[in-house]
Amino acid sequence: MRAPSARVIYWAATLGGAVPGLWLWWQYHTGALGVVPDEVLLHQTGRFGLTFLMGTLAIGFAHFLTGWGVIFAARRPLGVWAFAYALSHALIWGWFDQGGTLAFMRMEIAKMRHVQLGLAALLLMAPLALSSFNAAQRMMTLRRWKWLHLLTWPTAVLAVFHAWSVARFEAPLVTAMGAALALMMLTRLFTLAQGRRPRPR
Amino acid sequence: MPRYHFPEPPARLITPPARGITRRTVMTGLGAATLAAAMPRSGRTDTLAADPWPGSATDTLTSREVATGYNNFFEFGTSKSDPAEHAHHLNPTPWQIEVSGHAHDPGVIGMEDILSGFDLEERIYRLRCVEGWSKVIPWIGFPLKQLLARFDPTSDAQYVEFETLHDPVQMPNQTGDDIDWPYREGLRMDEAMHPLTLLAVGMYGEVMPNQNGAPIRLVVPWKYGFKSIKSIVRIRLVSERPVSSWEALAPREYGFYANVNPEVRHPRWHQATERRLHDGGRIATEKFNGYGEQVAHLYEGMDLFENF
Repeated sequence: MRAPSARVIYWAATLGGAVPGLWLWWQYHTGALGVVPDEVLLHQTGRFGLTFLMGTLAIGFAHFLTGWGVIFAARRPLGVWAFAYALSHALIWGWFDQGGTLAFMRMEIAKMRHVQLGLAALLLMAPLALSSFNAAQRMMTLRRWKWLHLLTWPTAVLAVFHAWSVARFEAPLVTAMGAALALMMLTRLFTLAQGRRPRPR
Repeated sequence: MPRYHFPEPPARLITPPARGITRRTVMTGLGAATLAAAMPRSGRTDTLAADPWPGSATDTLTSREVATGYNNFFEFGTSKSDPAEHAHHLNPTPWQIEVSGHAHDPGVIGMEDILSGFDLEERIYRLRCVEGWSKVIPWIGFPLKQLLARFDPTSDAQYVEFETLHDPVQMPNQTGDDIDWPYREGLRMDEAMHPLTLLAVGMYGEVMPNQNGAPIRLVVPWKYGFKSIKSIVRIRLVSERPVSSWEALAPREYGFYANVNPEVRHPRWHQATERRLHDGGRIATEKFNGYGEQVAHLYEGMDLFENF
């Protein structure tokens, strides 16, 4: 991350990622989230998490389109924010939606497909978030680190499926997200296949 | 997590002195009030007198703000805030209900005759939505059976069918195709004649707010909320079981009976618990919404998993 532009992009993503959360926090405390604010907190943090997760994948896609490598500087902060919002989404679910009652949470996890999907996505994302520092990369070697971080793809599939199971009137939006995910996945496979071919000198 | 509340400035810091109340504004106001009193009531925030009802639920009341600001009324849009935002298009005066079908004395009854012809009671009922949230609301109304008796149903009347107003000008989302408008609901005759089945004309001591089904709606406390049809204009006494709107839309998900039952899950979610708005946390859902003692006999011998 030596290029000054990379540094700018990195810090923009690192600081910018906090903006939606801070804005939500402000609205919550000023009573701007309507008469049932907890539900808005739950839905919004989920949307933020999904959007940031898709954002991390979109970085690779943008690189494929433009060939501009510097934007990779934004990927890690976006990924960490995706996890942060997903985690707060899960905590809000447990504390507000389930009223902090463990028995209710256990039942929801046992019976509700969307809860299972969401939880699975969060668990898949956890090792990615925990290995999001340079030392981790060195400790496990870049090769294995990159391999581990391919988990982003199944995480995104689970997250989109999770959102789709709870979306009612926003279903077309989630379907579009799923389509975008499929497109990005195909592009990634295409570039992988390209990479394997011996390059002309 | 307690919410921090920003200090609210006193009114004198917001209102310039020129806008404050002076003797002159009081006198002008009195004049306007006299004039308003002489005009026909708009019925928007009128208070309604009602006798307390001994069977009221003792649960903590849901705030009026939540009861009137978060609900489903698809005629005004599909989000929970749409009814409060768009229900001003509805004009509930004048209003009448047409009662037809298997009755000796079918006809039309105007809202003013309803308000003057029945003794109003304030009944606190729990209301459980099929989506998994619930409220506790002080309704004002009278048993549906009293209205039906006026029209003298014949023995062929086995079911009662209800219809909401169908007017896309007053109910803007009726231009959409979310539902095959108008909204329809139905009850078996014994359910309709049950003393708990209420026709509500108000809540929280006032006439029914538009977004909650002005000027008159059904409240069946042991069934999921969608059975409690709003803004009723037609009641038909029929011999065949009618098909209600949600049942027509998704027969696997919403049954005709729609009795609150924690054991019978919705295909997409369970019904074992509910969020008590706001903010009673999450509680276990009770069979027949806790009204089993009064209504369970209606369904004796019926398979409630089959007849969900």
